[in-house]
Amino acid sequence: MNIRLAILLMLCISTKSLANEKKPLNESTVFNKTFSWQAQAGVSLQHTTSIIKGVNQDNLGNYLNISILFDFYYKGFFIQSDHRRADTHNLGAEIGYQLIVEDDWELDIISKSYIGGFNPEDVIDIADKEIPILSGLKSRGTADGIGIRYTRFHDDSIFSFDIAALAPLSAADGWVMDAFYSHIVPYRNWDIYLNAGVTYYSDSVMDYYVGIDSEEVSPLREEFTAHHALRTQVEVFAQRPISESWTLNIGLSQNYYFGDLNDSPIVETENASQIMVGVLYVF
Amino acid sequence: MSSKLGNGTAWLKFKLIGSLLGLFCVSELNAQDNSQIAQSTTASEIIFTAKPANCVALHQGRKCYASVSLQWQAPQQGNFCIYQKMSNKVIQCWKNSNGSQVQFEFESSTKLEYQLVAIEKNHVLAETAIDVSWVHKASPRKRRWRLF
Repeated sequence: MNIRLAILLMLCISTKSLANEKKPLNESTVFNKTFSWQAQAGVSLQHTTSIIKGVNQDNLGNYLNISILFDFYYKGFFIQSDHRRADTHNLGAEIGYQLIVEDDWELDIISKSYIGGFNPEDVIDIADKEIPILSGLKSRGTADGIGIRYTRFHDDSIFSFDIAALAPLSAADGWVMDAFYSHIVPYRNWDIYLNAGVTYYSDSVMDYYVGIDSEEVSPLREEFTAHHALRTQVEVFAQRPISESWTLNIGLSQNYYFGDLNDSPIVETENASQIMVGVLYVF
Repeated sequence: MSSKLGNGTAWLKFKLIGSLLGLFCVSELNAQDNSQIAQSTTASEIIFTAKPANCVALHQGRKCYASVSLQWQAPQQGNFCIYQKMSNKVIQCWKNSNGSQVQFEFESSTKLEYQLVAIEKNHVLAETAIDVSWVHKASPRKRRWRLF
């Protein structure tokens, strides 16, 4: 399962909040003296359903997820993970630079993975069985994009909008628009995040992932050209302290895709869900 | 080849999980040793303890919630009260008792101290405290860094 191998690799450069921080001399400017970082390591159990046929969790190892998360900020440059989002642990860190920083909003250059890739050969290898629908299918890499993020801050919520091009950084050509809203509900020692997102994937992005080109045609796979798609996402993510160094994290995510991807021979469903429970150690 | 890859990945995972579990156990044991019970014992054998003695919030400055127990024991029977030190709020009083405990819901963003007082003499016999700590330090740029 290359998806999970990719997840493991991406998690190694993934992230979170701030443990060691100097007080900034001027926090209203981008080029301040602020330096902050935090490292975390964690383990979680995840049950995920994939939209791709044959990608199943067959053994305990498929459910386990190891995370080594690192956050860093210096003079407007940042590496961060949006830990309120369930797929952060799968897609890794975001790298960016703050272009404009105001009290209520911010504009960043951002580079991140928008879609996790998968290698059908690895999926078959790790499943240790024949998966004819995936046999001979080319590998799909991660959709690494570079773009602009506008973020709006409110007291207990945050809204962000990304527009990113994938072409310069990944084999998945095309572009992505991602709108995301997160609302925090503190309850006793819990932080509960209620999240909703909508992501638009252009024609070439979807065709790269679920399209079937002439070289991939088989008796089970006819040629298929995919078009643009829209993903809607609803999530609940909750975190509470266990001790000064450990947190408990629980997440539930439901995705639904609109578009013609269900016509693809390799797509199983337009629904994808994720349930996770895990702990993180904060260094 | 495939099973090697699968087993290798699983082995790496289990090894890392083992390390994390070890880290968890050590850090938890240290935490328990240091802060789970705050105890005040005077020369006259008065015991006054808070359990747990530390409440952990997710973020610095946030209110911390915990079910806590204050337990006390005195060498002789008498009338005693437990007060919250700064507010002088009465937690509970006892008549003709030489020991008891009270459970209540702790709710504070800062350390709170408690006093065991002998009513007749209005004398503070012992003090104990419940500390508040946190996982994540407060950030001056918390919203900009996508942290509440």
